[in-house]
Parts: sequence; structure tokens; C-alpha cells
Amino acid sequence: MNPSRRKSVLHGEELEALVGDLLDFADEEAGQIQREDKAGRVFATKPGKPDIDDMIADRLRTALRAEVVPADQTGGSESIIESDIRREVLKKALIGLRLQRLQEIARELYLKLGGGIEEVAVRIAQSLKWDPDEIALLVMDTSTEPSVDRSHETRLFPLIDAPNLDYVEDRLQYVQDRYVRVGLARWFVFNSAVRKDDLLTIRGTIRAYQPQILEIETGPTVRPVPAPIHDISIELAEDSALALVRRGNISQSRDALAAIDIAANVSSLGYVPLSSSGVSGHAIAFESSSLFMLDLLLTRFRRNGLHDVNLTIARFKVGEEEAVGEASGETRPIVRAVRFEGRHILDSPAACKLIAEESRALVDVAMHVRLFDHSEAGPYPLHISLERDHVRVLTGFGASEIGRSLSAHRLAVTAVAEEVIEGFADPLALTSVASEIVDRARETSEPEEASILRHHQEA
Amino acid sequence: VTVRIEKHIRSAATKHSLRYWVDKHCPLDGYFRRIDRLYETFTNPEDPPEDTEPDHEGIALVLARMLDKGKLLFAYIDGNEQRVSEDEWLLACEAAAWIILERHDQAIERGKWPPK
Repeated sequence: MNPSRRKSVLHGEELEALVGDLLDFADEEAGQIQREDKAGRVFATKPGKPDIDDMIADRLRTALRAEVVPADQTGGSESIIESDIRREVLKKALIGLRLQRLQEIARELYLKLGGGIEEVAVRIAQSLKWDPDEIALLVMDTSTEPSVDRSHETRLFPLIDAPNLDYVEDRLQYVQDRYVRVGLARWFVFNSAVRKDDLLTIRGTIRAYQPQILEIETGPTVRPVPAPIHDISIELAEDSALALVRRGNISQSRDALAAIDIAANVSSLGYVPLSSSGVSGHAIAFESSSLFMLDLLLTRFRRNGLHDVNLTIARFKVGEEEAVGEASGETRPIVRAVRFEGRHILDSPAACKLIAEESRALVDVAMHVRLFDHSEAGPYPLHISLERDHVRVLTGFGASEIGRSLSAHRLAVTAVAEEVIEGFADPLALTSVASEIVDRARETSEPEEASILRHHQEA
Repeated sequence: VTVRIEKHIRSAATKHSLRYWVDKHCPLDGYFRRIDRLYETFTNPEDPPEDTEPDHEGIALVLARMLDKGKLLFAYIDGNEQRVSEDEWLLACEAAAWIILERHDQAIERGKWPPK
């Protein structure tokens, strides 16, 4: 029974024995203390006492494990014991929320806030009794950004012209079940094109290969290694100069669009058309992508049924993103982007300074939104990013069923599509909020209460 | 070595008036003797003097278990309140344990422990 202050390695089973010894000691001494009590207080066992045996044992085990490096025996075939994996994975899931958020949760749960991120995560996991479902709900509920594997994703590419769907459909029939090369060792296979009224949905597959150099009997040789097959869909609408690409990362989406261009002359515009027209006052000096994002947050989302916007991440471009310097070995420090993370970021003087005083481009925002319907569903984590040639919309499943979050995603995509095609929804509101942002930028401390987005959303 | 009690533990102690219980109703001498033994258990004699701070959290948890298994604290808490949840009872045991540890610390500092 001697846990060292220096972190020494201790067999897991020895540690377990130590926990058992300490608990036995406590149990024996509890009775002894009562017998020694000179006051002779005697109490009957009360039936309502909660059973916390496992909770205390768990806490003690964790406290002791923090003092040593436990070396646990493998679970056969040199594998890690399943319970160790489960605990570590649950801890890791919580740690993904970052220390500041974990401390907020710990405060809400009346837990100790001190210590490193791992210690705080352990306390939260313990208070949730290491229940994977409870922890998953907590993570989904509080993630500042949706993760790609638990979200709906759509990339909206502005096109040079609205496509003539009859023509596109006809051209795509010609290449049905055929493939075209879209890049180095990359091909797009046309699987189907389904027309429903004014909507054409094209489905295809990206096939890509990587070279692998192998040593065989006759010497080295190059073999192709296939990358996982990736299904992708592109949606075109009559009279709409936008292509909606789903289930693809940035290069896969561009590849798919390039294939449609090759087969049916549907060309990407190559940029997102942004302007400052219609606004006045301070807003004129704001960067056009910042105005694009602000109009979405202030007006478009609300008009499309999304409300209670709480901005949790804002990323500003502060320099050109070219790779000059890296190739030449230059070591001059360069900041290309600044990212703010927290709650109601638009109310932060530092973020307002970048928008108003430095006219930086707000290119990436993540937020929590709710669906404005009878159920008040949500919140859903929503991420909008302005890429060179398209806008990406990512909506997390949140803690609700997938179908509900899909509704939120569709509304967000519609809002972004309208913004790209029609321009500002409410230039007057933009002009007004610009004045508030300028005023906030001059303040030296954080405001008591978030107001900028709220005022306009309520209005 | 000073016992530092975290804010949430102090809040729980206040909520259940545990300082009053520790000072008036808890057989402190008995707990102090066990704490002395636990200090020995939780300190490695081979460690250098600057590295011998005991694991207060571990000691507090063993004390919390003693309080859970004894009947006095629950009778006090139960007498004051309707019904406590598992989490609340665990926190109450921990809070009382930390207060006892603090009192032990103070008694040593004031020369009142160990008894002469």
C-alpha cells in the first residue's frame, strides 16, 4: 500500500489490489470508529441511503491511477483491455470539446474545475457514470463545430450560366456508365442522372489510385493502389446558376463538377460573386465576404426558419493564402488567418475590430441554430465557409434524430443559395449592424450581454 | 502541507452545514488516527523531502468511504433533508471528508494533535 509520489510504473492488478485494500480498510475502520465513539451514538441503518460503493471505488481508482503509470495486462493476443479502450475513447471524445468548454460543463455539474484537460474530462465522465450514450449526447450538444461524419454537407458552386436541364440530361445519357479523367490518376464514373420536374440529380463515383513502389523478385516496380471508392451527387436546378454537390470533400467535389463540365458544358464560375452594393454608412468599408456572412446571420437564416443564432467560431483571413516563402525556405512568420472561438463571438470587441477597423474577410463561421417551428428543435451545430469557388454548408446532427437535422440543413442551404443568387436580403439591417460593430470595436472590454445578433434577430 | 479545499466541495459543505456536523457530532479523534495511518500509506518514504506532498484526494476518498459506511453522517443529512441522490450523497461524504482533513491539519498546526 505505497503509491509513490514519483510517477512509477505499477501493474494494473497491483493498483486494483491497492484500491481493494484501501476500501477494506475504510469499511473496517468505519465500524471501529463507531464502536470507539465515546458519545455512544447509535443509529439504526436507514433504508434510503444511496449506494455509492462503485462511485467511490471508481473515484479512488482514478485518483490512484493519476499518481502512478499503471501497466495493465493485455487482454489476450496482445490487445488492450476493452474497458481501458472504452474509458480512454470516452475521455478523448470529451477532450475534443476543449478545456474552456469542459470547465463550463464541470461548473454546471458542480464538479471541481482545476487540473488539466484530462482530469476535467475524467471528472465529467465519472459524473456521467462513464455512460457512452450520455457522453455522446453531451458532446453532440456542445460541440462548437459539426464533425463531418455526423453531419449533412452541401457545397454550393456558382455556375457561369443556369443550365438547360434538357440539354444536360441528354448529354449525360451519352456518358452513362462511362468514366472521364478528372485529374492525375483520378476518374469520375457517371452512374445515373434522374430528372424530377425542375431538378436533375446526377450520381457518380470518384475512382482514384496512388502509386506504390514495391520490391519484387525481379526488382522494384510501381503498382496502383486504389483509394476508397467515393459516391458523390450533384444537383442542378432549371434557371438556377448553382450546382449543389453532396458527400464530397473539396477536391472530390471539384472533380465531380469538372466531369459534368466535360460531359455537359456546366461550368463553375470559379468564384463566389460577392458585392457591397446596397449598403451604406460604415458597412461600405467592410470586406464583402464579411457582409455576406453578416447578412446570412442577421436576416437570411431567420427568413428561412432558423433562429437563436449563437456564433461559436469566426475565422478571418488576414493574408493571402499563397505559398510564397515556404518553397524558398523563407522563415519570416506569416499569419494567414485568425480564429475566434467562444460564444456570441460577434459581440466581442476583438472580432469587431477585425471586421470594422481592419476590414478583414470573415470567411468561416460556426454557430448553433434552432429550427423555428412548433418543436423548437435543436440546437444544431452549423458551419458555413466561403471557399475560393463555392460555399460549404455543414449541419451537425445535434442531439436529435437525423431527419430533424436534415430539415435544418435544407433550410441553411436554401438561405445560402438565396444569398449567393440574390445578394443581400436586408441592406438596411446590414447598415445598421455595421454601426454597432464599429462602436463595439472601440470598446475595451467584453460586453456584459450579447446584443448585436440578438437585437436584429428579435427585430 | 496545507489542505486546499475546492470551491464545489466548500459549497457542498456549506449547503449541508457540514462544518457544524464535523465540529459537534463527528468523532474527530477516531478519524484523525486513521488519517495519520493514511498519510503513512500515501507517502513514499523513499521520495525526496521536496516531493512528499501526500495525495490528499486519495485520503479524502478513503475517508469519504468511511463516512459512507458509518451511520452518523447519513443520519444527520437524512434528518435535515427529504431524500438525497447518489451524486449528492457522494458529494456530502467527500465534503465532510475534506473538512475532517482540514481540521486534522489545523489541529497539528496548533499543537493539538497528536494528543500528548
